[in-house]
Amino acid sequence: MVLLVIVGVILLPLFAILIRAFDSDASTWKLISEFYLSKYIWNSIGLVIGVSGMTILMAVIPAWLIANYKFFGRKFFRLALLLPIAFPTYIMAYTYTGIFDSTGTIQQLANALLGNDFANAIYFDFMTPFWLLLVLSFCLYPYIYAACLISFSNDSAQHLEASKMLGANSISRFFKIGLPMARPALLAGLFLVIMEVLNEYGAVQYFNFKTFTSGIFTAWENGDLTSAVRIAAVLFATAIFFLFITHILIRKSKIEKASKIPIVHEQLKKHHNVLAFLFCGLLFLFAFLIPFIQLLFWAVSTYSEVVTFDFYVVAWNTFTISILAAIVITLISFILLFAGNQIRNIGGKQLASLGILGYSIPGAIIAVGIIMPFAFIDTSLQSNWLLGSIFGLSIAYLIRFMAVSYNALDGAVQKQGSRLDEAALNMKTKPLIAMFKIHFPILKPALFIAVILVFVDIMKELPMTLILRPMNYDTLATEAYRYAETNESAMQSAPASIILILLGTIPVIFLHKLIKN
Amino acid sequence: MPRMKSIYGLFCVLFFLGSCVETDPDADSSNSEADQTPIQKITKSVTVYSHRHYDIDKEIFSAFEKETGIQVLVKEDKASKLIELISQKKDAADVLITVDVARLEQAKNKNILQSIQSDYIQSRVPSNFMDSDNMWFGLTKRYRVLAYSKERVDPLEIKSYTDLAKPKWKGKIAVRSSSNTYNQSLMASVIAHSDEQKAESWAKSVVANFSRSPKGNDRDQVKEVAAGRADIAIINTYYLGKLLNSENQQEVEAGKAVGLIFPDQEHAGAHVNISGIGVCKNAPNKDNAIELIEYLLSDKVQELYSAANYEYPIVKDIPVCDLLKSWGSFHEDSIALERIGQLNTAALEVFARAGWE
Repeated sequence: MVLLVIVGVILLPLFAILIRAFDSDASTWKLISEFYLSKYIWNSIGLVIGVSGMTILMAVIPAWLIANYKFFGRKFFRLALLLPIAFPTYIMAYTYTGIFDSTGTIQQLANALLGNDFANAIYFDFMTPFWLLLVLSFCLYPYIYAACLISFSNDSAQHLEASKMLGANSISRFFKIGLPMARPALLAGLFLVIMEVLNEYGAVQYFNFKTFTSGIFTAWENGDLTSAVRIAAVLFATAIFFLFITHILIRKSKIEKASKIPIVHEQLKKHHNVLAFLFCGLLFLFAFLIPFIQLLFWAVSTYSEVVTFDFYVVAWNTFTISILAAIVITLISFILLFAGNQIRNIGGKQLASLGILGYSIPGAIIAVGIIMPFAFIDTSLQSNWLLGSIFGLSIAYLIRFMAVSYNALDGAVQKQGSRLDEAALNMKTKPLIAMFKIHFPILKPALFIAVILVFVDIMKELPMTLILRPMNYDTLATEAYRYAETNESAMQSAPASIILILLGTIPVIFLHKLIKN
Repeated sequence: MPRMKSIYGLFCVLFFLGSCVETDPDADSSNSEADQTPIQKITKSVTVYSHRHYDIDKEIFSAFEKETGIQVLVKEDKASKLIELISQKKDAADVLITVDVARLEQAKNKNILQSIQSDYIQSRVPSNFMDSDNMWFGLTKRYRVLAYSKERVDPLEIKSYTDLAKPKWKGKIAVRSSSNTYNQSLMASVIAHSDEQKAESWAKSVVANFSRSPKGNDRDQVKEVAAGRADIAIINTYYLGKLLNSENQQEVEAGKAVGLIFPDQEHAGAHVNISGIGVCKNAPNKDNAIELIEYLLSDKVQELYSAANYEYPIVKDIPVCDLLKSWGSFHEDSIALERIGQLNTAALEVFARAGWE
């Protein structure tokens, strides 16, 4: 029953959207299908494949090194390489453009140090698909890195130690044991990355790289919501396709997990040590430190004109709504997961996992699906409870980000197996009590991880927050957007961006502690 | 363990407190709408849905609050989203503000605006900058013009938008994406002054002259010219104002490297667009909404739009800031902007067929 209600709340707006795809007033549909649709499809798929490959490289290599070896700076990088997760992709894109464009930091430095000719010689066009791919990868690889780090250090430790004793070299250990055993974790992280790429809007629009989301927004802005929804339906199908593939791959790679033993970290020799340090160092430098320092410089120069008392209210708003919604969403996915497991035999599990479909739909389109039923309820109750309230906004976050917490918890529950449930059943413990008394405490670390991931996602969220927020209510993301988009000034958006990123790194530090344990 | 529990408890309490506190203003206003007798409203308010995200707008609204005692409730987002919200919840907003005429026409077509009769408003806004049914009114003017390299271009060489199609500018023109509404309205005006076929062949020639495939924002186009990778950029005037007043000295230099050409002086005049406002059909506070619009059209506010945001006042004979004065006076296109809004879909078609990304 609970299961049906939760899944119903999540799926209702999705259906409300899909119905609109059949409206007949699609004034620009002919134009879109003739000139743009194939471009949207191929660009999106290309971007997904490119970012997938890049993020796997950026994530798996340092995770493997950090899990297995001692090298200079290892402990620092363990945490530091998680930090870019706090960077919203659009802020990363604006910041890097500000570094590389013709009035940017690189050109200024080159000009001042080595003259105009040198500056001209090293100039290149940053706003190309390749750099877009790289910028997105910088923000997204931590999803895979975190998953792989946990897997390498915990799940495969015993096998790795055994193979080491049997004399397997490090490369064959990686390909024959580490990587195959980490595959479920890697794919789960990759799934999040793919969904984020498909939904990315700010950076692709700025680079004018035509993907599904840029198509959706363009159609909508041109007054043709019906076509926007139709493109969203194609996107939805693409997302389900990727969901399907990752699920099949994950299922195929179920591996019996061994008990936990600590890994003995092998000390890397001289030049290997340097290489490992360089790889991790450069990744951290480009994915976090450089853009962060750039934002800091901008923030210092615009601080006085942008930061007012309101600014602190804004930061507080952002923090409270994000943390509270994250907790509620995690609890709901916890309940959903267990409700699904209880009635496993009649497809409860499949029903529950429908709840994560919201993640595959861009926030703005979810907003459309929500506005309709909410407006109806509000109007018939003569109230303002849903549209433009924190409560209504939280429901939107639930629909969008359920997948993030659900996936994190699902992984942990899978690992736990069904033995505890059977034991509880033998003791005649009611399922509800078993859920709270047994699973809840055991899953506490996983619950924390889920809350943190959702928290960071909500803080960065933009399209739903913009339209569904209460009146006179700003968050750090909306403030950063306001300056970057309409004022076309990455500099002025820097103070909000910096606070946003700092707030995001705090839970990441907690996350790191949890992973370590 | 107990500590954990108490932390969870605390969060739950906080959540409920948070949601209560935040929704209170809404609850209040709905109560005051529904329950209070119309004779004595405790707080007067006006709900503004705005696509304008400028700091100066916030200042103007708070000055309005002080002067009139009417509280201004603002939600900022893209016009298309705000329009959808209003068309689903008819009484959600009192006024809609957009940054482009096409979005105002969109709102009118979605039947979410109402006709307003106010002698003051009609006397302030020139007739070509308002809807013929009085559904929307311009607040500020924004010209989409040509920024040329002072170093490489003789401004006498290029006098009109048509000139952009000349082969001599091959690889020299920088402009942003066709998904941008300012470009769409410019194309609509090209169509309005010729026809779709001519506009298409013009657009194809302009595309052939692009220095790179369209990307970035208006500021980025000026930077392309300043850096020598293009000679002419198509931009809205106020972005040059913002560049010239940037905290980044390099941006200021980039701004100084270009001059402005207000095209078509011998023909229709420079293409002009508006940021405009309309009262929503089911506005709960219609009187306050009209009072706000009248305030935004007052001399004082009109001057501020130019001084703080480098836009041109919609009201005639309002003094503009020194920078705008330095750009001189010019002849502007007098076409009814309504027509530009109506040609938006035609403009999209021309862009698609011409391959303007």
